[in-house]
Amino acid sequence: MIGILIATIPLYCLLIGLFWSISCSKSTFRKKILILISILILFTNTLNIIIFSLFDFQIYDFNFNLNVGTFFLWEIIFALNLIILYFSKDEMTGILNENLYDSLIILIIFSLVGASLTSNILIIVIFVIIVFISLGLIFYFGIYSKPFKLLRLFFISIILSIIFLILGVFLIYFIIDSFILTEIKNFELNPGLNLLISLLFLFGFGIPCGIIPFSIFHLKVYYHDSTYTTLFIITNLTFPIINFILFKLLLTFTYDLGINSLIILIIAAVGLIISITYSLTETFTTIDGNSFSIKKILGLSSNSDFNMILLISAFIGFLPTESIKIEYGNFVFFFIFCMILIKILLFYSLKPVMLETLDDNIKILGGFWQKYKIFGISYLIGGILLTIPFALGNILINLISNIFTESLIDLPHISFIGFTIWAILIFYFIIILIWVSITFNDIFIGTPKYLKNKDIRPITKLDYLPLILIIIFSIFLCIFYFFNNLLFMEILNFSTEQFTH
Amino acid sequence: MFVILLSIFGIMLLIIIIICYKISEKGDKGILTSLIILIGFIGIEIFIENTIIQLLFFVCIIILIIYIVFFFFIPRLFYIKEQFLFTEIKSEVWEDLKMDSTIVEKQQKD
Repeated sequence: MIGILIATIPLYCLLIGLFWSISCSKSTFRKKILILISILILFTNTLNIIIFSLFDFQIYDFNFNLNVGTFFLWEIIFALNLIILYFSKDEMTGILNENLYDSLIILIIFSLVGASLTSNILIIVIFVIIVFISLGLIFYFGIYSKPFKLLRLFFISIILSIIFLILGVFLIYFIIDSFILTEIKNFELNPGLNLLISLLFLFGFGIPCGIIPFSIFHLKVYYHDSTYTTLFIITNLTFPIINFILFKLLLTFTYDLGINSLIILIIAAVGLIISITYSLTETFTTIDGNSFSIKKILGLSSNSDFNMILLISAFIGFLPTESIKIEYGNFVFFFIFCMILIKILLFYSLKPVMLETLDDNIKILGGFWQKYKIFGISYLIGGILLTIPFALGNILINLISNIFTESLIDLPHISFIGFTIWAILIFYFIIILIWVSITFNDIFIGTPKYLKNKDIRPITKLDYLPLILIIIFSIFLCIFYFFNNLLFMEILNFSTEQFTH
Repeated sequence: MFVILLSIFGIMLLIIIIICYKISEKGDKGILTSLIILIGFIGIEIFIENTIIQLLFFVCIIILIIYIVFFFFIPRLFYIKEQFLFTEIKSEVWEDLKMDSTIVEKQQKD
């Protein structure tokens, strides 16, 4: 009991920050207190990680999963919170209802933390709904006022997703009569119902996030007209964490059924093709009202990331033995964390664009290399880091030799699907390299034609700190992964029962 | 020990909420109150084990979320005056709306 109270101190601090940011309307004073609270949260959570890992401590009361894995996920969320506060200091000061904006950000973070903490499916659904609605609301904050009808499609998608989630919850209640994930997993559902429930949750989580095919159209407006801070929140904070939670939920429903995995695989593949097509047309053409917008390119590419994650995670259902499932699941976790880190790096490298101008057309932008060399280098490093450890190291040496050649040689249809997925993955990395190099060339090298902002804040040494930290952390992550094959299973404290009967 | 710890945390949170409530402006008090209720509801739901009551609270929370969005955030974001859907409401939201609209008009004049 006392353990729960002490371990959830970051949550109390977040609540204090939430109430504080609503009530205090003085901008600078509020921001200072919020940054202090964020640092305090990060510090206490780091202490939690150290204590829980040193004493090998776990708490599972009240359906809370308090272990090192949860705290590790929180650490990422809280670190992102600090970066978001730092981002919003430049872009979102002096806007109307600034305190509401800050409080909505903290509400989103509180909900994500809560959803990753609990194993009660009702509470996960409630928190996810709060996150989606808050995402819709923070779009309207900014220097310019925006008409409500801009996000009409986005809100329709949220309503659809709420209907799917509520249907899923009621179905679980009438069939299983329990909302706890472990009890749901132990219940033997018939395959049809299993498929129905997993599809309901996939649609409920996936439609607003653009994971489902043909559901990225509502996000195009969102990406194009939102501010950089809001875009950072939606693509780098909420969507990855929601994806992670969806991945955990799907593991409880579809971990051993081939046909369910096949349907999810097809959904993810079609979604991937559509989102890649849209991000490429945005980068190269003006078809369908595209405007070479860097915000849209970043957003749509992050959607294709999530489709790719879904595609490779759906393959778990096909794998025959438990040891392969565990090794493969470890790789999926590595992929998710690497994607989060590298997308943050790419996004943060575009901070000079946010400071210098309001234009986002990559054909108009240019000439940032002379003034912001370090940001340009880190943008390139982001692209290289993503492709080299995966394409050369991991796929060729580790996974193909271990998984696909030895164990699946007797199962030709599964190894065929596996090799198709790896081919798609390599193709996907090539596309990422193409758009990283194209956007780098346009933004950092090309001739500038954009309108400059009036007072541009000079870059300080503090601005380089997140860049360096992210690069060092992602390199360490890759190195540790090569030396320890089950690193993420250990870090996330993910029980191997999740993958087996 | 548990009761002492819980009461210390409770009292601390209560003091902070009261301070925030005192500092906050007129319109923000509504959002603050409904957020406290929302978080309280979610907190209660965590500790209940009966699935029927859990489901009831789930429905209540969804209704509360819709209430917060329609009655607090959307009016404050857009400063909609006469055209707003719920014209018969005479709560502090309307007072707040009037205040906001006069501020916007003043800014436009300037």
